[in-house]
Amino acid sequence: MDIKYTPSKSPVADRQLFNARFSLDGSLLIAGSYQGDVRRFDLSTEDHHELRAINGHHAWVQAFALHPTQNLIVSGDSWGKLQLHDYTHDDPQPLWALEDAHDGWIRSIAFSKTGDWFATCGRDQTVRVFNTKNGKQKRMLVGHQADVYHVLFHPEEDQLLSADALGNIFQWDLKKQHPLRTFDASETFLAHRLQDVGGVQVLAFSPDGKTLFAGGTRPKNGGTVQGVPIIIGFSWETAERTLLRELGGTADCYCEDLKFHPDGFLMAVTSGTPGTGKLQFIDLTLEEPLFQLSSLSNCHSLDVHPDGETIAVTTTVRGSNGNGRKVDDEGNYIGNTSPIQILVPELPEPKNTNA
Amino acid sequence: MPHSKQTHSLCTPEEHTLSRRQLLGASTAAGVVGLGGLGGLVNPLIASDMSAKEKQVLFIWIDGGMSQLESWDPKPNTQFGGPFRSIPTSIPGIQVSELMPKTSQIMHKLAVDRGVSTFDNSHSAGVPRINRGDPKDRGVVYPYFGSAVANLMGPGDSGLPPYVWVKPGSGGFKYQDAGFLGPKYGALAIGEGKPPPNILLPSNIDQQQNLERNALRKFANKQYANARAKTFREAQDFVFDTAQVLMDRRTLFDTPDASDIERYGDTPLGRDMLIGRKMIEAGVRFVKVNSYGWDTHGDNFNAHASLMPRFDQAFTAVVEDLDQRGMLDHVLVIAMSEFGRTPRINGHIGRDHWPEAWSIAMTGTGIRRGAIIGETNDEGTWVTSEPHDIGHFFHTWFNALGIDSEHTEYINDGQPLPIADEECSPIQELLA
Repeated sequence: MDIKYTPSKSPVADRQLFNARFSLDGSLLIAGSYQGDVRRFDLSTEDHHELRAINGHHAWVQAFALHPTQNLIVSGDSWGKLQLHDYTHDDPQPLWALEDAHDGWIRSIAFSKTGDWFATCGRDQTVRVFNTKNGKQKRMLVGHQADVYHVLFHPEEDQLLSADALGNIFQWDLKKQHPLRTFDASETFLAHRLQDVGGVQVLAFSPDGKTLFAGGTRPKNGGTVQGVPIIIGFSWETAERTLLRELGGTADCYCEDLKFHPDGFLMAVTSGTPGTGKLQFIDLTLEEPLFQLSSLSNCHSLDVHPDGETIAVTTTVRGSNGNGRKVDDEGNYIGNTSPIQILVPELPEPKNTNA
Repeated sequence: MPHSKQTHSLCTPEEHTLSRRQLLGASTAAGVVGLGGLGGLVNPLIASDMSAKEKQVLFIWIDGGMSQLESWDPKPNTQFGGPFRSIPTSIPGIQVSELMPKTSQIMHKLAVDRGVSTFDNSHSAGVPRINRGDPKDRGVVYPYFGSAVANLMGPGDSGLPPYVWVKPGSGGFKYQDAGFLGPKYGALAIGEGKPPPNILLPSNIDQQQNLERNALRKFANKQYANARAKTFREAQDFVFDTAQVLMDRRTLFDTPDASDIERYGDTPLGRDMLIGRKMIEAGVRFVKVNSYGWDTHGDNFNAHASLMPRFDQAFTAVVEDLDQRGMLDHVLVIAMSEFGRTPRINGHIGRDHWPEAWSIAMTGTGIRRGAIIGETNDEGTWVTSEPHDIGHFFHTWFNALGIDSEHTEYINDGQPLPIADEECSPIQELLA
């Protein structure tokens, strides 16, 4: 499969970035940063000009979600703060802000289908549901025994799922506020020496909502974490496991993000030992990927443009690791950045993707 | 892990599992290692002087490299600061990572140097260099700190070996730490919290028979020793004596109280820290407690979120216990790694090795509690105060133990050798 690649236009901020996403109309690329803000890039400009950042956060902004029908972004930081902004504004101001929405690190945010409410999860082991309009908390769901890494709504039903560091996936009864069902992805977790490794990194549904996918790793060790990136598929109807797909070897480590392409195939990115990263297009009926790009370095997120063709992958700088001092010519310590690779693929013919 | 991977032509994998029989057998290998020199001897007057002071050391070795930014020297909301918050401590104006909530409450009992700057950024070079205090190369292998203290201060009155190493993995007699001092100053390693197997007498042997057996052994040993160097005899006697003492002190390995497990944490580190405290209480001169798994080149932040609470709980519990028993007045406690971790966050969301700017914590005898010294810049990349190398700390710790580090020498086969790098000196701000 051929792919066109535009590295010269890849936005690079002066800080590392998380989770680059396209705006509703596709004119902006939005990403959370490692230092307290949300970055915006104007895709209509030749150089993908960086707009004024959305400020007001602390530390890492790993978690954010874009409203399904309005130009709104809910962002959460690693100190527990949530904010709502209009991301098209020249100088975005918070429509509301909650300083202590969670006790610490917010890991993931997901809007409901209508966008009237959204869910969050984090290091405090809770899942919470908030009203989008005013930021008022509607539910606090307790039951996970570890950091909760990801939240997701079913595409057709108002069903909320959350996945944790131990590989447990809960479907919640929102009225009774307790887990309704559990999906077992515990092979993504390993207690290695003193260190807990792995957990479910990401959840995704097939477009028809009949299959739930969990991405993560089958961990081998801690420290310089190694493991085989895997995707586990579950029947939504029975919660039975229907699929296990390996995306590489032990150096490839984590499946970091999963998305279904509008043409029906699954896309995944991996991040492994420093410098190792892959983008794969997967037809679940075939053993080999439709397409694989291994030249990217540590891919942490992917998103599909509303045009249905352009893909954004958050990567890192190859060779950004290493022991000891790395300084520039003036003796300044060199940090890392996260180039966002923008890819325009020639897509394969749509195929049946139900597992 | 450098310690566990060290091999020697005389050391087979089986010898790393300690049993009474194997412990006795280890003396042969240990003696051979000492061949070629008379072993290191501290001035006898100093050794006897030290033994009267009854000071001890609990040395907590965090193997692989704890991140200073996720522990003692947080730089929240900066480029390299990571996701975690900092929290106030019991010392006004001093903050530590939110991953240390318990430690934050005992900061006034600790001393922390945030201005540590060393040189080696690999484990293979850093671990031995740091453990030996990085003396100048004089053509000899310097002892690790535990062996140095065992030699300089002697075993004390407990009858227990002077240097015990509590660790995950295998146990055994680890003579390599002793360097030129000779194998009798090596470490007796307790692996996985287990006592040496077969430590009790066989049921068909009573005490009288055991005494007779030992008399026969001593007779045979005398003939064996007469034909061998002094280090052979010392090592031979040491391991037999150690085995006998451990047979007598089997209770050191009894299952701990449930309340202790709860306080220290039901983890390998909690278990080993508790054994470490028992060893200190029993009078062992130097106890090293190891924690492995800190080499977080990948997924550093989730790893520290997992690792730090275990350290926080076990470390706080042992310091509190020693304090409540009045033992911090004579026990020096040190917590450190071979280096810190890079401010830069790599693509695997990890931090690499960073000896340029990191932190060491300590408390106990001779240490000025509440002394938080040394500074790094706003992003934690470089030390902005006077940098302290490991040689400074060896001087400081020897002085905290009552040893004049600038005027005490080892005597190695007639060769006087400084016990710490003579280009360094004690860090006065850390000393009581």
